[in-house]
Amino acid sequence: MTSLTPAYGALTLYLVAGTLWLVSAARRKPPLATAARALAGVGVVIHAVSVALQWIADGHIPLVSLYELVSAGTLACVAGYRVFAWMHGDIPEAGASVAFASFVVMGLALQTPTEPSAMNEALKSYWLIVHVIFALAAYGGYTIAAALGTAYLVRARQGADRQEALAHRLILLGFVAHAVMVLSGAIWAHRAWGRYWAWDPIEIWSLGTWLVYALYLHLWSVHGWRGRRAAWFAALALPLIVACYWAVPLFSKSIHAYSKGLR
Amino acid sequence: MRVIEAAASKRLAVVLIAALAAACLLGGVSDTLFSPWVMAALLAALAINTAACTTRMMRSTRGNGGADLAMEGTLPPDKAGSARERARELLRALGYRVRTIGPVVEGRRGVSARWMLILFHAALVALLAGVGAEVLVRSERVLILAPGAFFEDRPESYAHARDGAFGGTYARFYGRAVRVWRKDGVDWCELRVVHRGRGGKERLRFSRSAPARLLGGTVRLRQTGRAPVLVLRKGDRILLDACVNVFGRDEVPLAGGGKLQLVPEADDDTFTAMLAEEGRTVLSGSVRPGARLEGGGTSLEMPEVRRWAEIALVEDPALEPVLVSAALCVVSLAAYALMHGRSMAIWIGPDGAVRVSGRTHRFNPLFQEEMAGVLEGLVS
Repeated sequence: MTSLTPAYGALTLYLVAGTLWLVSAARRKPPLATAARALAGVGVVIHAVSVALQWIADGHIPLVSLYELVSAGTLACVAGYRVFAWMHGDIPEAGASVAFASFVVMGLALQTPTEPSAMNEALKSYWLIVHVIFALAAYGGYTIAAALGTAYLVRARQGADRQEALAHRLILLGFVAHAVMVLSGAIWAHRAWGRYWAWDPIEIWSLGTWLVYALYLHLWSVHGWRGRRAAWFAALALPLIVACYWAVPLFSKSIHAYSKGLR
Repeated sequence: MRVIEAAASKRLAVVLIAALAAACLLGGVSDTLFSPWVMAALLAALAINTAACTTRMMRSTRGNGGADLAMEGTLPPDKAGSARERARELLRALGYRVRTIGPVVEGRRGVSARWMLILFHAALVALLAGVGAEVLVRSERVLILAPGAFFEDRPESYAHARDGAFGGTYARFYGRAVRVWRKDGVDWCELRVVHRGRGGKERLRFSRSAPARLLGGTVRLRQTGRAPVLVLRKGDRILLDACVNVFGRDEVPLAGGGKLQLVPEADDDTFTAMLAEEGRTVLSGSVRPGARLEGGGTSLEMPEVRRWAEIALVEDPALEPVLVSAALCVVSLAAYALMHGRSMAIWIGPDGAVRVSGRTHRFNPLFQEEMAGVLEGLVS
């Protein structure tokens, strides 16, 4: 069995879970949200199997090609939301946002080359793991925060202040992970290519998106942005992260290995 | 002081961050939209603004910043006597450092968070200043070496030397016996270096991705190439006697209008050669070192193939301060994110009235929940 069979299985489960969350939010039926959480949980397990199979096929940690990175990223997002729902309570609108976003992004990634990736000399480094793990943590935090923002915009329910505070905390933690990702990437780039910063398009966008979230944190703490404005910001900043992965390599030539899958 | 106040504008900080983010996002899409001068100006302005803001934050640390929250309740008569001890227990259970001042039980938690934020901004200023300094003091010199050749590490040896770079260290060593080879698809270079100043020999091996340390800097392979020595004869006439640098599919113009095309065949020193004169092929075939290719009264000899390596020597004294600042930025930011600085004061009146007041520098409904939980724990 290749990693693709469970990947498609997880993709289907995310779609079904997202639909159930959506119906639960529209019709106010909590049992449907319970079923959605269960299906998303099963999807996470199957998705983890897919990543493990890809690891075996690669012979190295599967964080090299675009497909592998997006697969690990969507797994982190859905698993992260499940943990969030367990700790702070499920919000069907947010669950639907995470599940549908994961379905779309993972579905697109499955259209790119999915065969086992090869490690070139520059990628053979422990910094790969540090860099990518913190990238996944950052983007996972931003995604769940965006989902909470979307849920706030769709329906400001009771306890919305708490939901907003949690979104803020997720963005703050994502911001820290993003900083670690940029720093570890710079150290790794120096070891691999002899320079810390080369103004590579993906490097620039990574810094740019970090600054966008820095702007969010400043607007929150200094200018008192709360409620719908903060929710809009959290929701609209996420597409920039997705664009950093997908759109930038289409427009510009990058040294990042995964971007070659898009050209 | 007024200058610092003006430079420490929070509105300016937001504008600068927004402008930098926009410059990065637009510049990442198209090179034509990216201006290094605009970026440098924005970064310099941000450094000044952050420095001024940090100074102001340090001055206001002792002030009364933060949000004031309060809630009140009444103790049941049977719990009034033990309320103060109960308040201490509740705060300790939540991780607060507790002290009692008269009728008030006061608890503090995560008080270093604000200092971590100040440290982050100070480290950011140091990082931006360090990056600026690096642009001024960093030097990179490129040297093209032929294997087996003797070379002296002096400015004239470098293909692209910067004036005044390397601060005189060039005179302290020279190298010889360069070796270039390819293993598992990776080009390697070996350089024997004799340090003039302190004496002693050193053998450095490096590739593109694995640099070696040299004189406080690094030495790295940039690229390698092959240059076959070719002798082309037509009868008694010599059309070519030269060392030709081959990058890919190269064409060498010849005296008399002909062209010699050379294509590297594989990873060894074999080339496909094709001689064309007046639009027709005169000579074609593979040629390897020591071999001769003949046809149509023409002969092509290749006595040897020379390899060359282009290496870069980089000296960057500002690098370590930049790295330390960057690491400090990340560590202080992480510490700030994990700490939630807050304080809570519980006043218990003689008539059983309870007032729980709290202060946090970050607006946080979770803190209100915590305060409500403490009040509930006292009055229920």
